[in-house]
Amino acid sequence: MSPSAGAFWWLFLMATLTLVVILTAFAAALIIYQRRFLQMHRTFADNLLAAHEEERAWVAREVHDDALQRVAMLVHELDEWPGPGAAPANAVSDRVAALREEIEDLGVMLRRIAHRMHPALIDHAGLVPALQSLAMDVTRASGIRVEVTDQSQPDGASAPPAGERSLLVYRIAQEALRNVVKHAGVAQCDMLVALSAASIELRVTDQGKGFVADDSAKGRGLGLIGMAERARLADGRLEVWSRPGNGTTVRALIPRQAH
Amino acid sequence: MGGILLDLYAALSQSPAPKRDIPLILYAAALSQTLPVFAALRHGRRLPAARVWTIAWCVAFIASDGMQLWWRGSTANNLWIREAATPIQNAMMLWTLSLWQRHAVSRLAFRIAIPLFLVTLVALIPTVGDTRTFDTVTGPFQALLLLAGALYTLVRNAASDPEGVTRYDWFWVTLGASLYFGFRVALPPFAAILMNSHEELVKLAYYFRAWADIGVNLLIARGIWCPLPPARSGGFFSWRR
Repeated sequence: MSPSAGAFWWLFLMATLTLVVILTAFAAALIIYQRRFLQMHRTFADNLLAAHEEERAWVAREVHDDALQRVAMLVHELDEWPGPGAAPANAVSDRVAALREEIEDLGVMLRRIAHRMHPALIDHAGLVPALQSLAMDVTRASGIRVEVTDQSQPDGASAPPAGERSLLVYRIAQEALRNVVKHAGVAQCDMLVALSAASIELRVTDQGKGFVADDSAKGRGLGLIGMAERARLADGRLEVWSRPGNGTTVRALIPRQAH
Repeated sequence: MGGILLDLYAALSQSPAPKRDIPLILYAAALSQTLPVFAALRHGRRLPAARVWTIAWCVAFIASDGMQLWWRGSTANNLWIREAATPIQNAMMLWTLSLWQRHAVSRLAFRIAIPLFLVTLVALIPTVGDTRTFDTVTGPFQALLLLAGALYTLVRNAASDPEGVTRYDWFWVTLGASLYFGFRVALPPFAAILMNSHEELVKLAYYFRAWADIGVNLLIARGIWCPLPPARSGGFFSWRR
């Protein structure tokens, strides 16, 4: 090989090496950037959800501590009306009774809204009682009987999961039951909750209409996407099994600790 | 940019012919390295980071050339200084170029390229064998990488800001760096091959490169001389904007 041919060969080799370095640098930069971008997106979504929950908790607190107290005071005022020793006319008395009933209904509705906005039971009693209460609410509101089964392991039940994880599971359960009420067309469904030392499992099953579960996200409502997003943000996963006519099962598996 | 005297000296060191005096133009080219440093005096301490690094790059060239010339007085081999300094200078230029990237991915890629570049050079050291052939062996790789980086920065930034590119420091510096590294891609290996048979031709090529180096230093000095960009009064996402 002549010296100039050797030089050309060497230049070619160096050019290839240069290209390899450039491509490696750009590929690594792309991967790192993607990871950072995903992390940023995730943190943003996490903060957004946290802010959302905080806002809901604030509204629930306001409704409970202010509006409901005022309702209670109104009811009390009506109880006392027209004052000691004074007897109201019959027509007025009927109207006051009707008014009292209306205000009591308003109180029930406000309490329900407050509970739905932020289930205080999670903070006070834990996830399982909050889910049982949710099931009763759904039954009361829709007539669908929700059978709750607690399959928690002793090590899981002894240490309650962190508040935000419990709230997340509660929201998924809320959405899954809303879907049952809205789409399943059944009189009964089952909810299973299982706490272990490592994870929280929630399963909502109905034997209703079902749908084509292997469809892509296209055509799905925000509910399923929202549930999946909540599970993903908690490093968990959401699985949906469904076939038309064969019912639906929604299963969320959420780790107790963030990875 | 720098090293023209020493490049020729390195090339001549491979020639069996007796060494002759080095022409004045090569000294002029070497001295022209100080032009960007003088241009920086216009702005004092307010220089943006990229310009500071460009000046540091120039100073690194002046320092390594000075050290080599000083060492040349003794009988010891002084080419190891180049072997140590060139990768550092090129790493500095990669860092400077990264500061001019407008997209986060490009910026990150340039910064990742620095350790990759240094690791590759270390891997190439066994193929060098002799300090006199260091530039011949690794020069094309180093120059090609920096040439690609400078051209990429020039084209990408010019494309995203086609109007009035001459206002920007990156335009002049990357133009100068492209010319400089363009010459460095092919000259050392071919000079090493042709030195025995066509010494005059090689010298002529180096004289031509000396003129080009003066032009390169003028371009870089022009970039440093550019007016400073207006200082930002707030972050991009500031709600006050």
